[in-house]
Amino acid sequence: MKQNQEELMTLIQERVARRREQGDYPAGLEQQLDRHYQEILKGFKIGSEEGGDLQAQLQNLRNSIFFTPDLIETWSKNPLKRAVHRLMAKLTIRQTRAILNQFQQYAKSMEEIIIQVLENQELPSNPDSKETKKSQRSDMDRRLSTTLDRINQIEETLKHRSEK
Amino acid sequence: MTSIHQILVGAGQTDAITNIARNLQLSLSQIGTSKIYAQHIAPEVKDVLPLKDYEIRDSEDELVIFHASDGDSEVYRFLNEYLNPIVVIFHNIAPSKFFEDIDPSRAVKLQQGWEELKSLRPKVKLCFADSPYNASCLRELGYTNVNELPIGIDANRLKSTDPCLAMSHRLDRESSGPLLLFVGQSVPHKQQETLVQMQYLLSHFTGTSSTLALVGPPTLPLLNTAALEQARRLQIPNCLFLGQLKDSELAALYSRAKIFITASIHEGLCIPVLEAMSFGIPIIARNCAALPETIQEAGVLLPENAGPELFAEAVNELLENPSLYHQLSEKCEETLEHYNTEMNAEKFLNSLSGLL
Repeated sequence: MKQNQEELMTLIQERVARRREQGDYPAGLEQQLDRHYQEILKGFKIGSEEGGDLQAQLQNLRNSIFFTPDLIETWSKNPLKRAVHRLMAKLTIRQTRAILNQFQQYAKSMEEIIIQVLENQELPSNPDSKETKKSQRSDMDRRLSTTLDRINQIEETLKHRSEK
Repeated sequence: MTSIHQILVGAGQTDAITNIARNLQLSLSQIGTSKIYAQHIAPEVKDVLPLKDYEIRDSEDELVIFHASDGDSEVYRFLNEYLNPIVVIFHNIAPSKFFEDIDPSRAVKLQQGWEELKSLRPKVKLCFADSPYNASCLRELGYTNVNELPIGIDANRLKSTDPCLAMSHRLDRESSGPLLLFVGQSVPHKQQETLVQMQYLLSHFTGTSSTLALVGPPTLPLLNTAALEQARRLQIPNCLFLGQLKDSELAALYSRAKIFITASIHEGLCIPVLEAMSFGIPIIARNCAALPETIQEAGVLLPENAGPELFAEAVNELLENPSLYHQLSEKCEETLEHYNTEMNAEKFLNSLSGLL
């Protein structure tokens, strides 16, 4: 007899319900397995990944902290407008520089605060620092040990099979 | 002389979109010169040229086909500077929300991909989507007259590949019982941990002797490592993490697989599902994104929030119910009729003729 998707789904859901009733699938098993996986994942999610992202953003911030009147466009297609823009720029250069200097100082202070916050969070700011290398090495060791364990498990299985 | 070149964001030796571009290149070569360019090229790829080598020229006989699958500002800068008509083939871009916690920089890139594709709209003269789901995504971005056509997809590609003997021997040694196969990248929305947990239930709770093989590039190695670690801690038997494989090795796995299984919650089409169907393998998947329209009646569609218990029981039902298994297996061939490479290529070339 041909079964459509709806009938098939009911059949499978009934199977799960039966297993649960019989105690084959203990209550909350799926949630427990998911929590178990999430904990493992959290353990592997090394701080350096998040730190690396913050470091990249900090670098972007550093690159943008360069305030100069030269970056203010004075060019225009219209020669008259172009002359007016240039004249205005010359007339207000003292004020423009003063404002930009204040921005520059503000941005530098902000940068210093962000670096301090990052250091307080113990996020390594230097990828070559001892701490970063230690963390990377420990992560590599964990991954390597997982792989070796898995290989051992496979070897054990093969050994048992050949003994049979 | 007519030139129709293809632009990819990234090219890999076994990458599905690169393979689509290669298939399409064979058809395009019939009407003129056709090269494939990409921004990021895997070292082993020899038939794709770097995008920086593309010389933009103003010619009425030239157009580019852009395979949209990811975000990349350099590629979009090139497309915005390009002077001739652009044709888009949309393969979907993973929604950024899946990556926000685990890989924020990737999430930003993916979000940019969606925005860049939207901004490219005025330059696009013709657009294609390889599935109805992808077509609806393009329409949401404001694209009109979207053509639904699975261009360049050769679902039978692996069926005609000789299976790797070494992989077959490995499966003889390391697997027992029916082989449950998953093929896909290790990215958050593929949720391969659900499959590992399903294997745990099958082996420890229902006494089903099966082997789960997880195949695919470790795009986010962290996810593979965590799933592998869970398998180790729970002592789950017969859980094979095989990584990225060659076509012949994949052919060996498909030849052996009893069921193709995926817990993915986002797919624009899912080519591994089509490849599995070419071997007559029934599918178990979640009823979401493009999966129902790709699988149709050749598999079991579980609810979008299905957990390992439903997956395990779907496997048990298929293994214990031979008539259901055959019913789904028989539907595979019929479902694949839509992916006729030659017929779709001809339709595509006819559509292009209006632009040249």
